[in-house]
Amino acid sequence: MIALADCNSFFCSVEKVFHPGLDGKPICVLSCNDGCIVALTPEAKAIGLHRGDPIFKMRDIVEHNNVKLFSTNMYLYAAMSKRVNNILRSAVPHTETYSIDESFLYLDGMEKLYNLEEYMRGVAEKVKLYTDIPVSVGVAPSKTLAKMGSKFAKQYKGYRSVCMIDNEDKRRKALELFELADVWGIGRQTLAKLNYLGIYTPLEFADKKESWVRSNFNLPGVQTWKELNGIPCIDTAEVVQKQSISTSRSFGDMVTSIDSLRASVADFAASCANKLRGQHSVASTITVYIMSNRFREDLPQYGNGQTAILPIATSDTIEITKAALSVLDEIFRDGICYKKAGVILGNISDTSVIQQNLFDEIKNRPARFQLMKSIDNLNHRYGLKTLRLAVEGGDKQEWHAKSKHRSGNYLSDINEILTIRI
Amino acid sequence: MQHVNIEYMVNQDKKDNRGGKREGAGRPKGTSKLYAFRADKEVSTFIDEQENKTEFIRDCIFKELQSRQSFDANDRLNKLGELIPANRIKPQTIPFFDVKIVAGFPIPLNNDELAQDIDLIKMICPNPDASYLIRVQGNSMIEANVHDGDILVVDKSNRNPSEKQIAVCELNGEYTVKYVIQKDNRSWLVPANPDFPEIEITDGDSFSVWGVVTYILHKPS
Repeated sequence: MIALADCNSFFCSVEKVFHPGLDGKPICVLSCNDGCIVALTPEAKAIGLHRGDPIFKMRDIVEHNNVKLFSTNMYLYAAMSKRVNNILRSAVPHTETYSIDESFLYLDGMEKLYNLEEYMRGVAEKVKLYTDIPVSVGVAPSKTLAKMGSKFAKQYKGYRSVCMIDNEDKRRKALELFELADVWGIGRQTLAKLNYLGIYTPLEFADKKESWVRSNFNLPGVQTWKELNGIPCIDTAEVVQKQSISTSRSFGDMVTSIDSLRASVADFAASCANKLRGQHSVASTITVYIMSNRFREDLPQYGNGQTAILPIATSDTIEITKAALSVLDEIFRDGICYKKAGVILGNISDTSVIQQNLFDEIKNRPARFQLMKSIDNLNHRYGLKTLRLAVEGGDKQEWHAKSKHRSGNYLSDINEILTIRI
Repeated sequence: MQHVNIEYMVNQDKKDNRGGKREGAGRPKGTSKLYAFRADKEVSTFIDEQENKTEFIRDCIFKELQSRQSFDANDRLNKLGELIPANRIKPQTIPFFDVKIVAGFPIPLNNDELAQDIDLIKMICPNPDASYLIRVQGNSMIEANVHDGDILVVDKSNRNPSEKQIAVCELNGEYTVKYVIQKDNRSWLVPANPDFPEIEITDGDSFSVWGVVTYILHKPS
């Protein structure tokens, strides 16, 4: 059996831990730069707010209902996510972190020792007690069904945090009630195709013959069909390695100077390289793009992007930053107010398959690799960006994103821990 | 033409005496050696009794050599330097002759007896995934040793504080740090400072316990 533990409106729940008096209140967490809603509580949904809404269009609803707004603070959420994962990991032999607020728990072999439903309820209660984060757990033979279970557990209080789909009756009932569009692995196109073929519920899909599914869908479709029938076949560990990595941001204020732009592009490049090393990959193409503010029609408009191709795939911050900056120098035009810049790394492959090149300009690759490892270790231990390239600039930068409502780094910075007046 | 040039340069190099071996460089070649040795109790007291130790040892060796060889050993022995106590020489340089006598008993250190550093984190928060740091401002708990600016280690896994435990609570949308005490079937938030009032928790209040203080971190000023 597999369980999926999903934290209920995770970002908002984290904010609630450190801000008193928000129980039952509408809360929204805004995207970096305070642009759109990225997370919201059921109370906020109930008054007509949606994920993705631009917040400036929603001013009326926000003010009228006294909606509490927060800017995204990924450091805080990641620190809390780590705590939740630690607790889950201590409860079951093997877990797999799928995203910041979702983990798969492998329960194979435990059904003989425990009543899984009660056991997982205990785990959910422990997470709630230790962190105040409510989790919904789905327990089922396959990951797709476990995901459905966690949605049911979240939707209906009666499940008391755990919904177990462990027999044929429960499975058929769940498939009948569940929204086809919400099934894990069914995207917009697959949904349209299923509807076109006359299928409107997960149950209708699951009841089709395998030969029919194989003739109409390719591998992912067949996998989803199998999973819905309780046959586990999706390996999430494979999904996690990303095909391209990008970091981009709208600037808080518009940026005109090449120096600020260089600092921001260097920062994005370093952040991409860091992500790349985190998943043990290397990249060989680096795209940099910059654009002006398209809403300011009174100002001259300009946007451009170009790609540099490295002879040897790398995850080295210095190399990637150098390449990104040389691309920037080529596309930069004077006299433009820039609003956004970004860096995209592509052609990503595993570290183990680096192609050698006769004309490699970097003589001591193993030493450089070691250097990057040391930098990562230092930054991991003493805080992000303790050690960085000089071109990335200091902490106070005009290109830094707007985050008016950002909470403190309560869990990772001693100078920002929660303060209580007594 | 080119060839001639190169030859010229080679010759020049030789003239300038650049590179290669320098005559007379390095440590002078000699045949003398430095010795130091360890003597056991009996021998050492005997040597210590001699008026001039160097002279004495030199004599001994001289006699030994004379009995064996016919040539004049005196000349060589004059080159023997002063006798230096072994403890004045860096240990690495001592050729170690004596394996029979060891000063003190070697005590083997078993792996399980290796000293561990005290893990301060483990000591102040035995339950790290449920522990949070909170800074306090104010003096309402001064008699409970909570001073303005102190950092509290708060364990969230305990939501049922005893009357002696300092609790972090949420009361009507505000966090506070107090004792939670039951009196006559009613709950009170009690400060540890006579200048502050006790607060009764009534049914209309929204109240919850956030966690319990396990340690107070106070920096002496």
